[in-house]
Amino acid sequence: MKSMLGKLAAALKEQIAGCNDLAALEIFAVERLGRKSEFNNLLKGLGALPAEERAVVGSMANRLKQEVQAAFDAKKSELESASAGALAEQERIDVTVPGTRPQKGHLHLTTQAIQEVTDIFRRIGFTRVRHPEVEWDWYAFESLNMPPDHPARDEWETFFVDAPVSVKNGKMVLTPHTSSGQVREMQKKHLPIRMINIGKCYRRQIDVSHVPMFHQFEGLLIDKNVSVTHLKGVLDYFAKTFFGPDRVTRLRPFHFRFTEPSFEVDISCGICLGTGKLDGGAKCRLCKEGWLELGGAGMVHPNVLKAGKIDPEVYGGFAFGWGVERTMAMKSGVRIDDIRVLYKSDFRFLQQF
Amino acid sequence: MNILASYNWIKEYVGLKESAEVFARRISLSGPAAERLYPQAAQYDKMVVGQIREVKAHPKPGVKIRIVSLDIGTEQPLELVCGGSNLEVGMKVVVALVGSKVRWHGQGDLIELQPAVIQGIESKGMICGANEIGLADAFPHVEREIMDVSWLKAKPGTPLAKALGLDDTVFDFEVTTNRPDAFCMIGLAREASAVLGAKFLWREPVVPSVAKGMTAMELHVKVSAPKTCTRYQAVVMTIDFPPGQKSNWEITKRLISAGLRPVNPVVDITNYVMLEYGQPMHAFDYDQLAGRSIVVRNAKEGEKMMMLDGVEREFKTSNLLICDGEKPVAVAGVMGGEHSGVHENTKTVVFEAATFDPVSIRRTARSLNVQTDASLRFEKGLPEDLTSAALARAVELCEKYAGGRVASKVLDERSVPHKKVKFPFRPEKAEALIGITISVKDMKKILVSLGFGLVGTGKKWEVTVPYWREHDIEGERDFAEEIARVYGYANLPSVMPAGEIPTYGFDPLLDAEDAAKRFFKGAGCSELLNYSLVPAAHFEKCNLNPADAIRIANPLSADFEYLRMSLLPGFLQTIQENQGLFPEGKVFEVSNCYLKREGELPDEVLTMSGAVYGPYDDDRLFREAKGLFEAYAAEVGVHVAYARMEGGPQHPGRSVKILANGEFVGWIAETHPVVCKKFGVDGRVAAFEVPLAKFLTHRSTHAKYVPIPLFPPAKRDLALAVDEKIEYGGLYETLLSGSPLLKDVELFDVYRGKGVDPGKKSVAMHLTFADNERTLTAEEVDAAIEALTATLKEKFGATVRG
Repeated sequence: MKSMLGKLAAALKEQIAGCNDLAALEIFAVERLGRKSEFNNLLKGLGALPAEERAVVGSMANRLKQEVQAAFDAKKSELESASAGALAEQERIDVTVPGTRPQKGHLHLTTQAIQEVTDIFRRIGFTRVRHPEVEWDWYAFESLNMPPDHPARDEWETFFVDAPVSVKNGKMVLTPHTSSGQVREMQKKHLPIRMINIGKCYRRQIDVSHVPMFHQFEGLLIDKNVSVTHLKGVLDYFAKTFFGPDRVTRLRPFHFRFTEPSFEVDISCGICLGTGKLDGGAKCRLCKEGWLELGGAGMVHPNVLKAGKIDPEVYGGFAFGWGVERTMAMKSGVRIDDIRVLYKSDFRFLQQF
Repeated sequence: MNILASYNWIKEYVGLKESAEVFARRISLSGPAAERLYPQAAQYDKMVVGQIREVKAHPKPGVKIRIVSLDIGTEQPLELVCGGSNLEVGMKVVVALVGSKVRWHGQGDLIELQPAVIQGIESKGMICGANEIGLADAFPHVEREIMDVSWLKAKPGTPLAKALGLDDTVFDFEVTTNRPDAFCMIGLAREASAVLGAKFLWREPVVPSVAKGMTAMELHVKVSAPKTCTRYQAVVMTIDFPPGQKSNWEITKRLISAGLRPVNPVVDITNYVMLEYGQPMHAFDYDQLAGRSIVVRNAKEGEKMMMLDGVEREFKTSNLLICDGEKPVAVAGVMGGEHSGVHENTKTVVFEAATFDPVSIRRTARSLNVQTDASLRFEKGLPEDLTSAALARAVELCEKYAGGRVASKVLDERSVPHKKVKFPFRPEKAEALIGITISVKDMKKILVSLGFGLVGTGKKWEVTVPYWREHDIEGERDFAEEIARVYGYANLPSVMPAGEIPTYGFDPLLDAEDAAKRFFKGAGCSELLNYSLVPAAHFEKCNLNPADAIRIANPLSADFEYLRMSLLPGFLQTIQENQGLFPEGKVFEVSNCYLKREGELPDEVLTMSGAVYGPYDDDRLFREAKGLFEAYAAEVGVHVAYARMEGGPQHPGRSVKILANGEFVGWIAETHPVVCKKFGVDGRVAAFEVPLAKFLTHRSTHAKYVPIPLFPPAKRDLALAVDEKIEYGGLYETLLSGSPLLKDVELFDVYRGKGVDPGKKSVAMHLTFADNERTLTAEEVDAAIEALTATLKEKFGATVRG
């Protein structure tokens, strides 16, 4: 029996080695190695052997079976890889055909800028808030230290709502700036304040560089021991994060009624890198002598703090704010000749972004 | 507000040695911003003063141009041809050499001069007319003549820019509106002296008295509106210069540098003083003033006057006028009248320097629609104390350049008494605000250099405000600002604020808004941001009443008259405008709608809306809009139900209310085809609209965990034939509530046509059965289906299809 097993195993190994077809190998496996195979039949005879011999033959049979199985596995694996190699030809597709894409959606440029600005200020503890777009004169002007005869309060600068005048709060207006939110924020009676107010603003102007509805963002920080140096810190953080680490800001004196001192915030030009001159020596046409105006800022005027019932002898703060549209255009390099295109809802414009 | 300022002019009043670039950079960081620099000499590059040595006729008979030999400071004279009719030997002329840029006959673009052969003669340059080098305003002369500069002292060969004093830089300064004192050469010089630490050279001129040997001439001044005209000063002067004479070049070039056109010596002087002192002035022809009087009063209703710009205007009683004994002669602070202006034959003039209420001037200028250099300055608020210095300066210039002699005392009507403005100042507070330590010595130096007076030492000072800063300095804070800016904001460090980060005030709606926008973008929609301001037509076309909306009292135009109450009309307009190139599409917007509230600010409702449009009149647009909405609702975890809706701009058979926990939280609807037509939309539109905050109150905040089933579900398909009017919703509800084993029903096909009776439709669904305790047997599932179909048959007449 031992020799029969040995011969059979050798024959099987030889046959496996000679097989070159995966399908034939599978059939071979069933016929010659399966339950009803000759090999198995032989093994069934093991039970008839005396116990001593049975142990010896049994262990030999096991070893042979493993050998045959190993030969089979090796062959199968060999044949499979050969067949996979042929896939390249059999199942070749044109990989240059465009992908099947989900339909592309678009966020408005202004929304993209708002999301980015919000994220940046969130990192330094400024919480985004929203205040009314339709607002009382008191919040939009009076509380911001703007006297009744201030030009911004004239009917040719600001939209007035056709509504009864409030004895307490004056006329109803469409807010011309996000600064209207300053005293509203103070009235929440939580100190310190770190807010970023982003919203729609309205002014009575429409031409290539003005739209009657636009967006501003306004930062306000109220705390003890706040100085101009802190405003610089926050503005620099924003400029470097939003525009890039090689950009710097500068403050220049300016004038707003609700801040004192007031500043114009400039950022170094990204085209000429703050030199005002291009490589060839020509004047940079994008900026003014190397700088671009970013927006306004200042130290909150004591009268504004008083309007918000905050003691200016104890607390101080700064505010900054400017147009979202302009900031976005300055960053993206989208040179929009006519700003009105932003809110015309022309798909040829919207779907570029 | 911007002013063009010549560096040479500023330097007349401050000892500066810096280059124009350095000066511009330094002053911009601490004071008025020099936005642009215009070097003046460049445009006269390669132009020199030449003197004519010889003029010869052209050898060819009949040729008008002549051959000129010029001394241009070189060894060899320059020979060229010239057609000028006024050429004379000894005359000094402007010679443009090869490489210079000129404007031929004052027309077209600048052209670089090349050597040329004209009528057989080689010319390496040209003799220029004033219009060819941009100086026609300053040196008017007749056509065909050349510009005669024999009056120049410069030697032949001197560069023209140097000879004319145009080796200068003009800055375009932006001066903030609160600083009219810096909106002039002296003010800029004062700023420069403080910022650059240079010596300020200006001295206030002395108020004139009647000239020797002159008999005082009669003039009466009466101010009937002392609140709006707080000071009025006037003086009479005789003048003496040949008729038609232009101003001296020194005056002219300065006016040109500031962008003003020279007119005549008297008017030029008033403009010169305005530029130099910031005080607008006016000059009247004395002989045209009826009654030798000046009366400052408000206009009478319907009063009219022909103004200097040649337009006759009618006045309102709020307009302040300068009148003579009979009639208006000027609109105070805005513009003079044609009749009383200074003309060629004027012999005697009245110079006016006055102070007017800024608001009154602004409103008058606005209502008459006239903006002038004078009104621009008066609108910002000028001090009463400025008039005498300006008047004195005008007299000085008139004496020097227009043969002027003072012929009256200075008349002075002043309703606001002079008072010293003082404020306390604590250096410690200034340092805390600025954020660094600045020595007391430096603080004092800065304030004094700007003209402030200081009393006191230690912790509290008293600071006196000079008259030119009376309007903008309002208290202690302003002194800190002056110190900080002159010290230089650029010299301050940049420090992150160290304070505590607030933990209140987070508004989840703002994050939800962002998330919604990102969701719909991801779903393939384009975001719109339409104007909140809409025309009445938007409501009318949607069968809504504009009277329910908030109206703007002073709209820009009828297109921007109301605040919107829904985002849908904007969508319809947008679709109409885009449908030509984009016949179908998906849009969304998340913006405020504005709802009126009595006696309160409107309710600003953040509204989320989406629309799908295209040329389809079946249910596909509705289903797509509904699908978009449902996907969002599932994303945020709001469970919704629907109920049919009618009315408004919606399709009567294709509209539903959205309900969450029984509350109305929005709608999904196809827009009524008639409404689409009114907006000019060709196809159909289906939209949804949801007030976001209200909708999200129904959010189930946390997803619940359900253990993964241990036993496999059994899936079966069921197709039912039902009448057309039977709705899927009913079948769905009935199925789900009909068997505890049925876990899910999913519609996969609705079919009409072959095999289904007319008037009926086939509704095919996937059904999922399962039990948490065991594996269901085929028999159990079959029994469940049988029971369910029996109920459906009874309730809806539904029959099971093969």
